[in-house]
Amino acid sequence: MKKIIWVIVSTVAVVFLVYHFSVQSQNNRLENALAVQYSNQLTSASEKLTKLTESVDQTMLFTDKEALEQPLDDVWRISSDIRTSISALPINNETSAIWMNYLNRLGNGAAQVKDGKVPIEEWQKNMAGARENLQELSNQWAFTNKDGGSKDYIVKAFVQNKLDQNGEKSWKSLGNSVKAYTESDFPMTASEADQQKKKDLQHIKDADITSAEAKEKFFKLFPEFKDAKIHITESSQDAPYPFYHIQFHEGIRIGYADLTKKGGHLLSFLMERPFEKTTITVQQMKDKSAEYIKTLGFTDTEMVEYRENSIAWHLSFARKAEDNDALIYADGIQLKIAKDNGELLGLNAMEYIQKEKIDKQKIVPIDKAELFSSNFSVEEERLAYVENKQLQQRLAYQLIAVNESIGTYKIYIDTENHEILHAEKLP
Amino acid sequence: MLRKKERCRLKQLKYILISLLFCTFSYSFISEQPTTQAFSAQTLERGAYGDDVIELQARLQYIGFYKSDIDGKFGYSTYWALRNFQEKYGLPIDGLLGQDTKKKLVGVSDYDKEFVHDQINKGNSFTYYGGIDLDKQVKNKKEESTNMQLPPQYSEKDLKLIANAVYGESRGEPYEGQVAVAAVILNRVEHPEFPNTVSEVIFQPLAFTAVADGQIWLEPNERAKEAVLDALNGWDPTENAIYYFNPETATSKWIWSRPQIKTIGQHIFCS
Repeated sequence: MKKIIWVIVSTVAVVFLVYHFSVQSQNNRLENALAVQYSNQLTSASEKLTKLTESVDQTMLFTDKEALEQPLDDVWRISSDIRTSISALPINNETSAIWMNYLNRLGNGAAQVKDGKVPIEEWQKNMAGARENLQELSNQWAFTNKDGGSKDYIVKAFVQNKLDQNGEKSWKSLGNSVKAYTESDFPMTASEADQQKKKDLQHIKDADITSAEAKEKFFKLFPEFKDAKIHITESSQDAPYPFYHIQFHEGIRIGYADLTKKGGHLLSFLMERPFEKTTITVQQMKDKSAEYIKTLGFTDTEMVEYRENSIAWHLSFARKAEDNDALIYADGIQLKIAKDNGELLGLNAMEYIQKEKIDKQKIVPIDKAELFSSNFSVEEERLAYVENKQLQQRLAYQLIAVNESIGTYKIYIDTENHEILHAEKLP
Repeated sequence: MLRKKERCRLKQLKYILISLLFCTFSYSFISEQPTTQAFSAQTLERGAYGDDVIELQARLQYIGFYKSDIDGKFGYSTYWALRNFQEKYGLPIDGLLGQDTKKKLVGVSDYDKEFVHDQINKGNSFTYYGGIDLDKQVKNKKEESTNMQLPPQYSEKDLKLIANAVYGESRGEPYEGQVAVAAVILNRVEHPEFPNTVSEVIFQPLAFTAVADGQIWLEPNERAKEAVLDALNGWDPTENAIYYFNPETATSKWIWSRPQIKTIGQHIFCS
């Protein structure tokens, strides 16, 4: 009996030991694989930071456009590569976000100079100080990762995610440097500041409404929910714009609507419910959508597209400019309409209430034959406002160009300077 | 008197026979076009989706007008193919599949519904050209399709990946909360502090718990996919948030320093 117990215990012990060593060796292999990946990203970022500083220096050498093209392109490309390396490292959120922002601004800046959107003199003036900061960051990165060659450091810091205990100070101080340099080297441009203000709905100057008024407004907009259970909360104090968040529940329907605190403008509405298998016709859906648009007060918009899916249609509307009927895509409205009975399931008016400022712009005719290769035909044309790289709304020719083998493209061409603002392949 | 009654009966019989003949003729006229009835009564146009579009694409491909995938999505390639068909057959060129175009299309093409739907259900890559053996037109299994129509700037891969993240991160949350998680991912793609693609944003180390604990690989349900579809179409219940956290489980002190916007379900959304 004792012998049998001894055999069983020994067998279990051997099995356990084999299992333990096999798991440990597997973990070691995984740790090694991850350490190699992270080490590669760390050293790659370090090397590229050095190359980036060299490329930035080269952009300071010339004034000739052609000579500048390569170094500017290098700045854009290498900064993008370093972003990829940094985003693949398990650095804490704050440090990673600061680096990404810095490199994005540097790369975009170079691209804008290359595209002729920003004068080279301006870039060279800004970079005179920024290049020293970049050199400093490159050195700090190398210092922070001086132990980066050690597997132990990488395993502890990144693989086991114990950066807090290993080198937290140096990473944190590096993050602080990047943040300071971003603010000093790349201050927000006027267009970016305007864009941010628009996003934060700073142009809405209406008086604040109370929670009770918000509830009243909700019932006025959606009278079908007059008997619904309503729960209203106000946005947090730090929210860029104050709003009321109205959650409702009535029978099988559950959803929310957000209204701005200033003036009670509808930001968005969305609800969920079970669906029947029946389908109304496209014409019925269009009639319903026109009715909703009218009732909710978006009559200056036009439907630009719709997509049918299994339970609903998603429709897009764009505001029309008063003087030339051009579509202002940035002032869009989206609707979601149920296929089974045409009920309004959702409305998104966030873009619409940001209301873009539209300036007058010259319309210079274009020669389509010169623009497109002969195997492309332009099938549709109308005017539309779209954003350029400087975040300005520009009046553009909206062309639908078709090639049987390549596909259908929607292309926007600035009506004044004929710059191609945007081109997208249509499904 | 009897003769008069007989004459009356004969007259009645004659009317019945004429009515029967008329009915039979009408039925045979309708049944001569059995495939027209395959299409539903709907008029189809760009943006439509479903079985009618599959039949339209298959029939257009059968007679050589349509060369793209038969996927049930009425996009531009279907639209131009339909217009070319209408032009060739002297129909009004409007890119709409109305009754006249359906009738003409059915008359000049063939449609093997069973074959076409079978290939689609199996996820096979296939064509449906007339005059070529159908077996020779089926190729290896193509990548699985979600059968959803998306805004042009997004791909089916984006939808699948975000749906995986939404399901892994927030399947217990209300629908609004699931749309919110998808919106945060999309807001990050647009934000300068984050990578520029959906996959890089989702797989950024330490960004999402579902990636760290492997729940990202769970198969998302239809509700999660619908929530992502709404976010891709513009809905953002977070009002532009780029972070969110569960206050019960968050371990990072830093996340509490972010400006908060609103709470949905178990998550606080921040900028």
